[in-house]
Amino acid sequence: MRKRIVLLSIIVAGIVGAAAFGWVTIRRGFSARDNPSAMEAYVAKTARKLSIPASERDAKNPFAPAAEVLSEARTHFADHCASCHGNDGSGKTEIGRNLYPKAPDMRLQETQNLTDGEIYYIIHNGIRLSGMPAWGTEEKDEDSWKLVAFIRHLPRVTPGELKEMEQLNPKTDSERAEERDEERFLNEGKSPHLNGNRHH
Amino acid sequence: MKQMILRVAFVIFASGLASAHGTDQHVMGKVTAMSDNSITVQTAKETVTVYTMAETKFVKSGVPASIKDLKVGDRVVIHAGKMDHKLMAHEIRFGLTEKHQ
Repeated sequence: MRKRIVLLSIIVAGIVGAAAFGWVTIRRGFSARDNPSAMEAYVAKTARKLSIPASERDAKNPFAPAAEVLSEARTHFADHCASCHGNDGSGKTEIGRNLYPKAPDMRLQETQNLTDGEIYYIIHNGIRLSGMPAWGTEEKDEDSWKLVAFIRHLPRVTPGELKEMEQLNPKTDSERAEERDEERFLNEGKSPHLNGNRHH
Repeated sequence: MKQMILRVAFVIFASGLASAHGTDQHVMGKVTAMSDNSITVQTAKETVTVYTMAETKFVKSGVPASIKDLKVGDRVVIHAGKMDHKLMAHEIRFGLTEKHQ
């Protein structure tokens, strides 16, 4: 009887604590600036893994990481992927940092340990309830396979390659103007129409 | 009531750790002081202190660099976000660009 009372008390305390935590969080509100909780991350990763059919997971990249393939994929990555993932795959971009979940650092084991088939599937089909869209057409697309080769190359990407990619990143006219202003400031110390501290 | 219970249950599942990031702010000016984790910059209008983090990227003349390459007196362009009312640097660029070297 006493054991039952203790057990019941623990359960009630747990429910009351969880409800209080939930209430406080609701009052605080939700923000994409937060990091997913450990439980959320676990559930999402498990769901992502389950969403990739075994036959797709084991698929091999038909493209070897030849210089020509990497060069083509680098151009493609700079144009389509870098605004969220960064040219270096770090995910440290204004969009990537503020997505929920945040864009991962693809140079790290968490991405590099995925199979070629898994990376291809993620690029080709996207990830539901995240910022990752599905790319390419419904058929098998060669571009996504070439991107897999480039993602494998990310941990060894060179400063020269990154510099080349910067020229290929999509930019608006105002972003180009801003870059020119910043470059002019670094080279000549002139900032004609800037007060030296601005937001965007 | 039912809706509230569902909301609370969802929140318990979904809530995570807070990590504040702000919209990027660009700071351009001359470095007037440095410490292990901060850089003070004199802009055209004011003095601004920006803090560095482990993930802050340093770029000198277009290539990756480190805080050791930066000196007082250097011109810098810093892209930073606000976190806990502090400006945290995401990227710090300095040095002449290719055409001017």
